[in-house]
Amino acid sequence: MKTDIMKALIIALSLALSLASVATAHGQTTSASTIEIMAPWARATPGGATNGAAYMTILNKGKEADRLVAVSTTVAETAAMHRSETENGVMKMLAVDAVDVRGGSQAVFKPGGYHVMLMDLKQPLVEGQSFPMTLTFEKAGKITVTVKVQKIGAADDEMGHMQQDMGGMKSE
Amino acid sequence: MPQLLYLCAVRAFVTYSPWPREVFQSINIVRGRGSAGTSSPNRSAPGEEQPVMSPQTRRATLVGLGALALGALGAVAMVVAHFRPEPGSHSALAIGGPFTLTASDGRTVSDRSFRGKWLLVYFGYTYCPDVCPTTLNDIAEALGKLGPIADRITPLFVTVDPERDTPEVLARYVKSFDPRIVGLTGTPEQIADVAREYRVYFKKHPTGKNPDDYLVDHSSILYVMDPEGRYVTLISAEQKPGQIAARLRQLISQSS
Repeated sequence: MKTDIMKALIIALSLALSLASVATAHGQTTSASTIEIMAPWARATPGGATNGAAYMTILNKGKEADRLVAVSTTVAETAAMHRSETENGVMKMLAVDAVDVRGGSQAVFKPGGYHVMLMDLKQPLVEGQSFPMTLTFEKAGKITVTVKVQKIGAADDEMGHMQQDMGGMKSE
Repeated sequence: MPQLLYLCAVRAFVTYSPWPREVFQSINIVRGRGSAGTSSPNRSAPGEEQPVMSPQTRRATLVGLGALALGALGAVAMVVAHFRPEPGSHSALAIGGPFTLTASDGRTVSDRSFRGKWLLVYFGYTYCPDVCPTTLNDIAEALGKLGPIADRITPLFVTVDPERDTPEVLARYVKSFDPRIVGLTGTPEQIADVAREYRVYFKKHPTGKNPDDYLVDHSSILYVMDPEGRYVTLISAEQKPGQIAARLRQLISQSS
């Protein structure tokens, strides 16, 4: 009789534990999988230049909005979110504090628009190489991606075929 | 007062008309550069007296020519407006002009150094990480698409950041896109002058504490100048290389 109770208790406990662990795992999965960073790339540095820019598409597969609040990388002294804006033929670069990504939508970083500005590159970015960049989201937390360096002549529309390329994405 | 207006109109007509000053002196509307009341001797045929009109005749001629001048200016303006290819662009008479700058190879050059070539003029700077490399690359690709016609075009990249863009920096920069692109820099005054002539807006905005922490807002437009150095049209820097190439091909083939 006592052993039956013990057995029941053990079963109950293990059930509770496993449920708890499922819940925790589910939490991690949610934050890691709702945000996908697609095709992160940067242009190879032209001779003489000391700044660069990185581009990507941020896909929010979840229902809730998330927000990219910080960017960092080791290849430049500073990395910051910027937006180029051309109005009446005048190009301005504006610092951006955060980028909202609504649930079920995407934020596109591309030439002439949003970009991660890489200021004071420690060394020129060379085509074919890649470097890590960490994106901090309000809900999804930190996501480190591998940014591929494309040729100087890489245009945004050429990157279309890479949209499915999820290589290099990993969560911390 | 009305007479003053006629005189202004005549003066403007003489100054801006395509005919040399001599044409007007020959009909005694404008005096030579000598002292008032005497025609400069070297502007009249040797041994010939300058014809002198009576004040009434002269005044009537002035009135007539003033009206003609105003009419001619109006006609020119209409023609210019008619042939202005892109809406919203500036008057064809107002863009471009003489400049003296330093090329990326160290040579001192002027607008006249490029006569005989179509110019595709773009203003930017090497610290610009996004729009400038994108545009220069578009120019390079457009040249590639144009094939042999590209030999008739010299793309100029004029920096709006002369403090940081030395000829050496510019040389390395433009070469990364296409060796045919000529980088131009100069003193801040020379850059301000050429920017004013091209109606280019540029303004530093600080991004940090150091004096070197700044970006430059600037006009991002391609200016097309013909082989005589005259402004032809604007091309939006947001156009794709194929569109830029097609526009240039069209302009060059129309002219020849």
